[in-house]
Amino acid sequence: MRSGHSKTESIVSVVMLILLVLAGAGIFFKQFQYDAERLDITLAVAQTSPQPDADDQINLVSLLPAGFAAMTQRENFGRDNLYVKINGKADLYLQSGFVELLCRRFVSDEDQKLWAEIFLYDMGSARNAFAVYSTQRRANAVQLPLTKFSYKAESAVFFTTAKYYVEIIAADESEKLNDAVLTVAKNIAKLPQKHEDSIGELKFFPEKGLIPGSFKLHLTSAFGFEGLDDTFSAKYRLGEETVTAFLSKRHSLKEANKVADDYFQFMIDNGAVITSAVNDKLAGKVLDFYDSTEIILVSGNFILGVHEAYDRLSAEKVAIMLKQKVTEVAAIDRAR
Amino acid sequence: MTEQGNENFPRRAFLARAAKAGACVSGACAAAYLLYDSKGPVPASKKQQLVTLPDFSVPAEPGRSMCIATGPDRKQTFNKAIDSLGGIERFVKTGDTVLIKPNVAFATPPMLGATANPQLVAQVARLCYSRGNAKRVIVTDNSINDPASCFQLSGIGTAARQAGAEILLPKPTLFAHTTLSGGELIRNWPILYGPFEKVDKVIGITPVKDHHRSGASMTMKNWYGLLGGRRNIFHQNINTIIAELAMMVRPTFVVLDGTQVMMTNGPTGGSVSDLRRTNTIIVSTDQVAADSFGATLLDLTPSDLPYLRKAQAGGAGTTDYKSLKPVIAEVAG
Repeated sequence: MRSGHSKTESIVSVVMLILLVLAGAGIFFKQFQYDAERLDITLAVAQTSPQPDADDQINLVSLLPAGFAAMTQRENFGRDNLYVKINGKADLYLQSGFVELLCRRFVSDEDQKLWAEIFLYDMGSARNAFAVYSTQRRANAVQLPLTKFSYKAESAVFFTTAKYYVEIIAADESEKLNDAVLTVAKNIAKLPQKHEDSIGELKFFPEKGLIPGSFKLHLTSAFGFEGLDDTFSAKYRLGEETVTAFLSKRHSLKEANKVADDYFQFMIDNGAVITSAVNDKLAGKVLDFYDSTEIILVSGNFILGVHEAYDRLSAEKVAIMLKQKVTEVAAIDRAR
Repeated sequence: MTEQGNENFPRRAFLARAAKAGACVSGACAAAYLLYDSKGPVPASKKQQLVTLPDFSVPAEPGRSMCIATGPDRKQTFNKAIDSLGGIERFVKTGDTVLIKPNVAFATPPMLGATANPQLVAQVARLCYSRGNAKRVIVTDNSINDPASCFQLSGIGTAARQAGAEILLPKPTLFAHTTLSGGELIRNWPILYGPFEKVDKVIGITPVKDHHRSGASMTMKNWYGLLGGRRNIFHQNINTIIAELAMMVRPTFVVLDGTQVMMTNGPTGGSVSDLRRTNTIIVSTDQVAADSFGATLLDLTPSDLPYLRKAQAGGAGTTDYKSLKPVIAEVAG
């Protein structure tokens, strides 16, 4: 028998003992960091932290028109406390890349009932901002010339500018307040932005028949199918018919084919029936889904098609137009 | 030792080392056992006992559990509905203290319909005093946004005070922990319990709203405003928490305001464009039945909202509102 241990054994033992001590210390200190909000009733009431304007943030007060002043201090919300401001709608933003929300109310100097609130959502990218903008777009909206994506609904203005999604919501429908809301919106839209605000996929949609303001970006689960993420849709009007076209750029032709096949199978599993195209120019899968038409095509890295159209001929026409436009624009891009 | 590689390690040494290792493990286990805190951390401020909300319901009367009233004016429509069920005096007795829990979740203007209508809240309070001879009417909610701003900007604070009601803003001393018997989520969780301590009747008032997460926000979801703590974690299990809230609160009756319904972009809305006028008010002693009918105002069916089925299974009410033979009433515009 050897009288002692080898040097290696001693070193390993010391290292293991040190690790055990560190783990023990970690557990000891971690036990003090429990979810205090669950256990401490002093934290049960909603708390926000109004803050003075900081130099590194947009100074919303400087954007107010004459005759209006800040009503409340600036409020900031991050990913961990966005729910304190918008509760059940927070998920929509969090799933779309939300970074920060800056809010401030402003009020007329003459009438305290005339107030409005600015919601400036930093969504991290123009694409994310467009996703939340398009998902919530009101049906009876009036487009505004503020930015590429902007509209007015009753008592409010909504738009995107660079990486921001902006809502300005009035508490009253008076003309004076609405004018002030529009002025603030214009001032925000004029602010110089560091970020690119173009969204590449939109150029692949044909312009003919396109219903203005109908673009929508589904970041996840377009049309209820999990595999169809990052998908744009747009509505077209052909005579009396309205048709929804969609398009999603994938990393490769192989991936586009895979997603197309999976989506096709998803439709079949949910009751769709394979049918043949009326228009022989259409090279894609055509499905009858409870008297509506679903068309699925692949062109290069794109999966595209028509969703839930109630007139077969119009659906096929839009699908052909879309494929043609994708082919043309992709060819131009390649030439560059 | 005879095995190859262990010839220099005698049995005695092995046993000694094994004994030492065993002693170390036993010591660690003993220390863990002695130090283990089976109750976990509790707030230093109050080592309180768990509380349970009392049952505030009144005896059922066949055919007088639910009224669906239509009319453009909230006050008149509510009056008609409550009269159809026997009048407020059936529910509120002389000397009662009544707690009204409106939806005051957001600091938004009343015209957006994200919160209970202030005139409707005031009318319910007024009737509790004038015909129910209530001693005291209290209005409370643990708002999502800052409570004082919510009560002020929603118009509910002013309207309720003008009707003689007291506004009770949530503060930490009003919260206590509760566990719902058979509950999966409401376990040792803080709720706004203080306002319930000395009241005789409880009335919930809320608008019909689309809800991004749960599909709809109505009378059952309104009790979410009683939860304290980091309650947003329940959004991951929204159907269960709504059902459990309905099981936890047994109100005297609920008022579901479908005069204007938030059809899109709920629960906050943001524009009058999100609203649709449906001119309907439901008063019901069965909140599950009220919400089951309310679903139809959102162009949904009760089966579209899984929490209704769960609440029914939990004994909070019935999704088959027709089985209650609701009174149908109309107020001319």
